[in-house]
Amino acid sequence: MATLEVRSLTKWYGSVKGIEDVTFAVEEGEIFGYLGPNGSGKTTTIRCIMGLLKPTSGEARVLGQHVVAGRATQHSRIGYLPGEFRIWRGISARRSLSVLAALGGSDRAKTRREELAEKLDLDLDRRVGNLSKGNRQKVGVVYAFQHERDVLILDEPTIGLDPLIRQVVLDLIREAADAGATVLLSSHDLSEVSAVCGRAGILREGRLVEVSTISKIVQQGERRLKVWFVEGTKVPSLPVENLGGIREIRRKGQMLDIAYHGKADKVLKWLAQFEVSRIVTPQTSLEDAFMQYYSGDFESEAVTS
Amino acid sequence: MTKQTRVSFPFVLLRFWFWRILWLWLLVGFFIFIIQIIECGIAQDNEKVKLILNLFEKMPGFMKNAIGGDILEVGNVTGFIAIGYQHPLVLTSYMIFAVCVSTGLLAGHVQSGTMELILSRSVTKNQVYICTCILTLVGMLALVMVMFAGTVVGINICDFEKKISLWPFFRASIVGGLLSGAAAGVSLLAAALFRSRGKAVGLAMAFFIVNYFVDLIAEWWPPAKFLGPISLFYYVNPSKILFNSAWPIRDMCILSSVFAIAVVAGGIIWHRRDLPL
Repeated sequence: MATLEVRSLTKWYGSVKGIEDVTFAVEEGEIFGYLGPNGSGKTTTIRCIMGLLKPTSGEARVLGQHVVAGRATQHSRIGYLPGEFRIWRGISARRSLSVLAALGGSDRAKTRREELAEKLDLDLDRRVGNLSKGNRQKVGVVYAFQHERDVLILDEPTIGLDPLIRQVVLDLIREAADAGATVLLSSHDLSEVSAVCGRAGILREGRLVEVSTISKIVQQGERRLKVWFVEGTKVPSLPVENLGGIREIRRKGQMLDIAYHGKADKVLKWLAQFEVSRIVTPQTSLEDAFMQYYSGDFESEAVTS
Repeated sequence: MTKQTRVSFPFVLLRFWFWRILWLWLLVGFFIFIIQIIECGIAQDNEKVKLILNLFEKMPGFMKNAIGGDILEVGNVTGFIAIGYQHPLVLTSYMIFAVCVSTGLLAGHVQSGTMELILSRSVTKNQVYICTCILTLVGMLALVMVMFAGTVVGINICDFEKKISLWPFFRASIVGGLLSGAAAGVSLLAAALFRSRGKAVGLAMAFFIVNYFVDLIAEWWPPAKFLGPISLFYYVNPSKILFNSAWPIRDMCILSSVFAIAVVAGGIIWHRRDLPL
């Protein structure tokens, strides 16, 4: 049984769609990336899972238990970091965190809190109101990780953090998953998703358009070829009508930058007609693949694997 | 994997919020307490009483009603002390406490984003509402007790010629407590309705101000007398409470009903409402 399950989850805010028919499952010990631009419905999904919003239809299950809005379903076993982390500004970070830890059991929270503050280079004795935005986000990270939880739900955990601390947070996520925690990681930062997640779901306008392993998502995307033709020869035009799914990205001097879908066979056969001096195949990134889901002509159909 | 976790009552939250609102309670309590002692001090001095009553006589009727109405007459020391129970400043202090606490704890935390953190822990929405109810109601009732304590201390400090019975003041305090409870209930309802604290405060304060003036106008202007029963303040009649030995059961029931309906309605709205994005 999946640790975290979302089935046909739909949320409408009056006449405005939040998410529609979202279905995915995250297994124990898995780090699942949840991707999408602003307003695509990531936070709505997370809030439905946390029981902060009542879904219009569908359901979420956490650790096998049906989530009922407002009932704190399995919250003692969930570490949560909201997208916009805001905490009492007038008191110290330590006091705020200890109050929140005490709301629902905190056997080892104190020790863990100190360890995390040291790792993140955070002064817990300062008033939250006096902390910089980045340091406030660190408080949020401590909040999410101060309990050793079975499930971690992290909405943009590294937003506003410098690259070094960002790496520390990614390590924390990996450590938690290695210890058996199930992680739902919502992020804009595709490099961090590809660095830590095994699978990811991509949201577009409230609908899940892809759920797959990161490598498969990347493979499904466009591939690139950079071709340098021999000096003095003419750089040919792409036979777009003969080779479907191919497009020119850039042309500079003797270099032609090509993007194509599917197998390279047809492109290479076409290139064989010309005098080519060099070919480079830049690695397709998750960013490239992700951008295609937003290029406009992508079919909005959920794919599950 | 499915280990059903029971959510225990969040006493930690109750304690945390208690310390956060304590300063306001102490401030309002101190003010109300001092007002009662000052009232006893003024009532003890007959010359001052006469002077003040002469001043009242020159005031427009509605202003006299606001301070005590018919109970203000020479020799009526009890009535004079009771000014401290319905003085607009005292009533305003009560309302400030009720409105600030209930809206601050519910709408304020929603607005500041900290409610999301509280509800992400092992705390249900109903428990959050119950914590707010407890702090608002207990705080209001404790203020009423402070008001009565102020009268007790004031009467004992001041050397009155005639023995003053505390019983009418106790009755007035209990009925005042019910009025405070009703006010707290309405504040809770407003706090549950809005995501912005400003709107919740605005609605609750507008409700109390309208109620207060409706009661004043109904008492002062005979053609508007029929409007009286729609105001909460109509059900706290000082002369009836101070000079009748019987408890105003009907008024007490109405105030209790307003309290119960407002608290339950607020609870239902709060429970059904989504936390705003």
